[in-house]
Amino acid sequence: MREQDIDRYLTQLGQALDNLGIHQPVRILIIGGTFMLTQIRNRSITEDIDVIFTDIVDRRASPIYQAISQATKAIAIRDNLREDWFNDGMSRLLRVMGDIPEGSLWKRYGVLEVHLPPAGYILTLKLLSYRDKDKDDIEALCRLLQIGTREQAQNMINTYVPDTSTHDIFRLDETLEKLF
Amino acid sequence: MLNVTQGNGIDMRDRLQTMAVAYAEICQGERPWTALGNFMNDWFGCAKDRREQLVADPLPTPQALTQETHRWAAFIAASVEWLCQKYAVRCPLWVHNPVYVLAETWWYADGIQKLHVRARLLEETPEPFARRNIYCGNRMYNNKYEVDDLIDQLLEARKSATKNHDQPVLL
Repeated sequence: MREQDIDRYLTQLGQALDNLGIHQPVRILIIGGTFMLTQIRNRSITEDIDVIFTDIVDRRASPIYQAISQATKAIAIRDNLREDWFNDGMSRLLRVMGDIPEGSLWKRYGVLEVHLPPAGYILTLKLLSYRDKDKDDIEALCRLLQIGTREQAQNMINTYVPDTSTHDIFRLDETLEKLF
Repeated sequence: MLNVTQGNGIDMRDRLQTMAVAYAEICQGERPWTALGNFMNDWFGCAKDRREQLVADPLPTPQALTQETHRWAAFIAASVEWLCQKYAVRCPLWVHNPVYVLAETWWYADGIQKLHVRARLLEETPEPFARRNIYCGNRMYNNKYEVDDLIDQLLEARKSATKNHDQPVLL
């Protein structure tokens, strides 16, 4: 999906939540390809919209989460999208890794409030996961944030994910050694 | 009833990003990890019940075989063999075509000017890649659909840290 598609589907999701009688704000943080596409603009297309629900910790116990699932499924069928076009699969892992930043409000689609995390948080996640598919994004984010040395990268990671055992599990030393 | 077809009448949710499609896209100039990332979304996510189909078709022969497209063909053949081993999927025969063995080693990683980075790549690269002369490490198919192991490791590390923190200091 392109930027205008993201806007269209989030508009539909906001309307669907309204139709389902959800009146309290539903806050999401966009991450992954959608963040790169809309904020860094180093790509023109993304397969899905990766998000974190900032106020929903236990999905199963949340009626709002059930409403969102229902709405995203209906949109997937109507608009011929992948069933996981609106994907919060990373939420649990990111919560375990550390505090999730509140982010700043980017757009409102009815009750759906879309927030942006700091670019440094996205770079931190990409450096920790460090997959081949992230290399272009890492380069673009390092350029934007003027991260040019290993020490700068390490300091930034420590800001968002200070726990060193997490760094070890993600083999961060090895990644930084390769990159800087 | 909702109509899920669009324009040309093809239900887009039935369109699989097979490895053959990914390779064709790479040959047409798509960024390799965009094409392969879309394959990964199907392999690990939406189409994980159709894995055999995702890798069955042999790779198309590109109009012009360059070093770059040859490398990616070998990388894809290795990927299919490795993924089939790892997920117990029947491996298609086309991956064993000797054309997918590179004559010259391809170090596909950052920092390869450092000897210890190369040593680690030699150690970590899965055999189907190494046999084709590709050294790329073992993180290329890490994905957001399989994070339970990581979560367990992180929770375990937290638990140990808390335990250690609670230990009385013996003077």
